Amino acid sequence: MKNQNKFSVSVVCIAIALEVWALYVMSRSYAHWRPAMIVKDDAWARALYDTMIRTMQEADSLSYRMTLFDEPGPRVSHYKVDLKKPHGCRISVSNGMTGKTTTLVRNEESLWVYWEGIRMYWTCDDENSYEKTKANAFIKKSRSVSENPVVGPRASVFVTGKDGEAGDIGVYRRYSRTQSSRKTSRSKPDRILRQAPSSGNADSVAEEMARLGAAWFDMIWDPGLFHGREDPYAPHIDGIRSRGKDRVHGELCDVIEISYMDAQRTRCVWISPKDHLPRKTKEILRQAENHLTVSRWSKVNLDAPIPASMFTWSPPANHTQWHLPKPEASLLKPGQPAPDIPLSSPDKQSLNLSDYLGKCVWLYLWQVGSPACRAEMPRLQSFYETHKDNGLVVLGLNITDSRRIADRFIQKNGITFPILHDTSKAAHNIVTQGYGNRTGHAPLSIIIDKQGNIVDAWYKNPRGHERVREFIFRND
Amino acid sequence: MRAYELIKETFLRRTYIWIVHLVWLALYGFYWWLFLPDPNPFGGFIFIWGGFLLPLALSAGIFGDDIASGRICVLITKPFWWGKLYIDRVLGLSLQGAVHLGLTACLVLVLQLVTRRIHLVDMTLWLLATWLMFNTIAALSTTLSVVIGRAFNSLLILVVVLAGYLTISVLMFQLQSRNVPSVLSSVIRYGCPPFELLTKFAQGERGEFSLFFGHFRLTKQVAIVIHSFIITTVYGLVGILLLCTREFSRVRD
Repeated sequence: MKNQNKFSVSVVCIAIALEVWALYVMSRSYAHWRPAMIVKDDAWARALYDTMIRTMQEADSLSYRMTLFDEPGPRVSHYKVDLKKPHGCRISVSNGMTGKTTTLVRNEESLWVYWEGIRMYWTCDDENSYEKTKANAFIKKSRSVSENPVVGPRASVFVTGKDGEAGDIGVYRRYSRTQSSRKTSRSKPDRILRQAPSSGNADSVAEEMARLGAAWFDMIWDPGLFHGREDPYAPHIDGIRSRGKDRVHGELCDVIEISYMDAQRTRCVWISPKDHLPRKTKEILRQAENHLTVSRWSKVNLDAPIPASMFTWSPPANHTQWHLPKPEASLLKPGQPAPDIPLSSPDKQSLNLSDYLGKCVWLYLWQVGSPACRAEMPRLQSFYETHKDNGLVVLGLNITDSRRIADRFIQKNGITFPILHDTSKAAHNIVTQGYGNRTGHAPLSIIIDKQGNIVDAWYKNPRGHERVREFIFRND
Repeated sequence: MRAYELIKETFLRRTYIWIVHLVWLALYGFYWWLFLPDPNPFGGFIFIWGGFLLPLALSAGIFGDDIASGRICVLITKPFWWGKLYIDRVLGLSLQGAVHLGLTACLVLVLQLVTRRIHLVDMTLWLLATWLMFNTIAALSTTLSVVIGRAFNSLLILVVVLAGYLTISVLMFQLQSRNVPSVLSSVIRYGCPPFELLTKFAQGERGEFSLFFGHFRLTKQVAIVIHSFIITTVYGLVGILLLCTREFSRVRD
């Protein structure tokens, strides 16, 4: 009897332990980042992804309708996309809540952006200029084929500044196609002359739309892929794996999962076996909070005839040209005092920027999910190691990412300069309103002198390190 | 021997039991022939019919009839333990469910040979989920049968589940803005029969706004199976407790 009781008690204890373990495993949510989320490559899924990209790039024309949303409700963006080789692009996006429509039209010569009625209020607008320019406005950018031997005749450039002024120039790679075969050959990428100041290349159509703030949600797949632009996240793919099959609009699709940057970003793509193009994409962005965006494609037409008139636009007589202000326009100007930033360091100590008075400070706003930041941080680390004895302080500032993901990136890249990490509303306000980073873009470099005044500020500049070096030696 | 007899009795308890099995199998084939669905909808259909409705049909009055007729006092003579009777009855039901799903698996194989549209791995998961659900509902129904007269235990579960599902859906919608839905959904998910967990075990996570898509990892699937067995055991223990504490009469109701 005693043995029987002992046995019963043991069984009950084991059952309770198993149930507790099971409840723990079942309740573990996907809301928190874990290393297990990093995807390992699966050859079949990778081939499916490559076929999807190749299909977009080899097509003569592509048109589709797209709906983007993040939750049930009116926060929806509706896109109409028409693309035609070599340069034709027409995108209309309407905001599900306001109903406002923004249209971007591009051809060999120009790019126009116009609105039905009143234009959107851009993040870098101010009230006065918006009131004067909101009605009947359009943007126009000229496009010229460069004869520059560095760039080469097969590359194309966009000058995004006013005509006659040095603008921000990016370089497209162009694909050549033979008449007899549909094989493409890539030209070797030419040297980028100068990067646009935003977080990505200015020539990205998706970025153009994002910068305008035309929609609730930015496009997940840049239509520039069709014209040969490389997905900026492609070099950061951890792996691609299959997730089985699922129906979208009644069509059975193959589902693949792509993780980028140690699963900081994950995309699930539903690919139609009919044309190898997406029918649905779900993107999860893991930052301090998770951001989910779902895009559904419909009315997908590959290689259908699209009239050339779709890719031209003439402004009506009463329309006036508006020039999109550069994001740097809202940043603090040289000579202005740098607002103090009370933040917390990784070991939860309180820090103030004013603690560094008497030293030159390079304040670097970065994000784990920004390809430009990921490329620049290791270079910044080596710059810091070279110049830290010259009185330079480099402070990395992250107000976006979850601490776990940020720490993983820091450890993986051997970053030793101090990193301030604070995702609170107060920190956001200091950066967006105090320092004028209204667009929220990264990377953002701010140079502060020994007296705590702004010396220089830029978003992305390959000559940034030289500028800082000159400043240090000037102030020695 | 007695256990074998009791288990066998659940197969032959009522004349309609074999009719139920045949009708259910015919329904699966008919559903497939009519709609030619994908693995998930077909698996879901089998899950509801085989995992929820079938145990209700097979366990109706499993104790209620014997209690009402007074036969229960004949079945149990000391030193025979009440719990043994309960376990044998539920085991019998579980075996019946396993036989039924075995026949369903044969049907699925035939359909796969004919149509080549069934994903066998997915269907295996659905059949396993169905059997686990069958066990849980069978245990719940058998427990209720101890206290509810005659064959009304099954009807009660059916009505409560349908009414409860509707009520909770409305409540969740109304109380969206507060934390109540998450507390309520946790209680339902882990305390009630594991419909949601076993559905996700079989088909994975496919919610439009979920942060994950696809089948769960093996660890999570094992956890769901363990939880399902334990919740079945908990329902069974309640039934055994009720059997032990009740007094029965030899007089027919």
